[in-house]
Amino acid sequence: MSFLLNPVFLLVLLGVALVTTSASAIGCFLYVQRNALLGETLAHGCLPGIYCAFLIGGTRNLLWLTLGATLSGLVSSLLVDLIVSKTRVSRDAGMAVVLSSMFGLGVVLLSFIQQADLPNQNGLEDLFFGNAAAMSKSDVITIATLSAFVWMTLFVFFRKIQLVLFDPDFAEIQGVSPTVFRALISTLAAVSVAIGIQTAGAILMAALLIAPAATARLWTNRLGPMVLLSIVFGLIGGGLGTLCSSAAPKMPTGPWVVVCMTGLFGISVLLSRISRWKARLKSRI
Amino acid sequence: MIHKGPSFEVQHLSLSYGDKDAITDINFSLPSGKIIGIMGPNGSGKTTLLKCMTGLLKPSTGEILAFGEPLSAQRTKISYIPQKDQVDWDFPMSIRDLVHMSLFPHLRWYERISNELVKIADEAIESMGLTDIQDTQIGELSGGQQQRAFIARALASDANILLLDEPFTGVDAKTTDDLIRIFQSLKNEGKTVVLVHHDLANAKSFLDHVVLLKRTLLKSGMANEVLSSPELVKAYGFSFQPCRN
Repeated sequence: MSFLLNPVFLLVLLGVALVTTSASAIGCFLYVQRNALLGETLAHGCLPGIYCAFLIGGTRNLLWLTLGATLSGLVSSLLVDLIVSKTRVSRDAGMAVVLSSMFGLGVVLLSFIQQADLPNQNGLEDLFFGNAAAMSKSDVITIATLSAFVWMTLFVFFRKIQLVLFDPDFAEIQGVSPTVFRALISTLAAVSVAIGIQTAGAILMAALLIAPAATARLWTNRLGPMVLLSIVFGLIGGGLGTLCSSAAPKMPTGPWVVVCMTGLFGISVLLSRISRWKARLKSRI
Repeated sequence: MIHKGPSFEVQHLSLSYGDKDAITDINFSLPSGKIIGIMGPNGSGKTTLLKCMTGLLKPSTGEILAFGEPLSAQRTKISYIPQKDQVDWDFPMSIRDLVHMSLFPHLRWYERISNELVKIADEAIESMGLTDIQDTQIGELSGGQQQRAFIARALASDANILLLDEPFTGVDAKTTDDLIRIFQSLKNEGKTVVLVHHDLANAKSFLDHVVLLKRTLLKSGMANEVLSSPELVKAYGFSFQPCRN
């Protein structure tokens, strides 16, 4: 257990905690918007942006790559909207088309970078499954700054976002633009995904958004408490995952975090079923 | 404040979806403090007209005034209650949260809901008889309770005009009667209730005024007059005699 005091472990733990708090908070809004697959689209969609940012800047600076990832994620989200509005293709099919093609484009760009033998490219291939252990102090500072931006924005606009997600017509009549706040949610989700790519990877990042939110929904019927509980479940899953991956050598952090979060979801499903059975039994007696 | 003049004045209103005209050249004026039904067969443009009256749809041509002013100036005085199937009843929200929602546009992000506003919301919830279940999640309510929760939200926002899209859809006869009683008490308080309505059988019993549509205005006037007029045959293709027993 000596690793618990290891500065590298503590840095990774802090980075994972920051990523999971913003992801699990924004995940609740995607969940209630019935737009959980957007996380998947953004996560796969940000890969081409990361590799394009690397090709343009020639650096692996997290802030720069995050900018590319966010823009590329938003382009993916806009492409889905465009496909849905201009064709007869349904939203889920549109998302499936966009996320798989953006992922494919990401793989093509990575192959190009590797074949071109560009400098500073080490670690770029880790972005598929994540490599939290490679997190540096400056990476954690970038993650903390962008996470704080996500939390603050959600805190400031919580009521208006809630209004728009539940009843966009009423919001519009009251002068709160659904278009603006939906775009804000997509942007915050894209930022949350972009800063988490190094931790969980493009393939697993969506789980960090939705698993804590789905778990929290099983415990509460109100949005405010749901967001807080989701953050708590995100932190527990993130902490346990980091511990598990550090306890055994060469264990990846991202997949462990996702496994722990899914475990919490499974336990919550079981407990909610048991409490329902109990209530039904009580009502029969 | 109870308004004496017309609640709505609709002038030369038309709206098209692409090449298709949804409503064409509609003109009418509605009284204040009455229960008004927008009626017509399926696809006659009822919901389109109602949404124009909320400001949600922008007309291709024409103008709508509420209490003599443009809709944008009367935004806070109009409350829209959507069709039941357009609401996400699984949304994590209690009745109290729903009613407090009407107070959000008046608050800055850092402001808590003041005791005064909480009192207004509590009174609205109480007036709809929902106090005992105000912490219940909206999906766990009956159809009538769900409608009353939305009406409570409208009351808390101090709206003078309530616009409802098919409020009786999916509710039983007793709930329909309860809702009609609520609309009548709102009318007695000086509120204007405008609703899209389908049922010719009970229309005369509670509507004061009817706007009869079939893509354009067929007739607008006192309910008794419109529902006995030849225009009703033009709208539905048959005349209607309510069952006496």
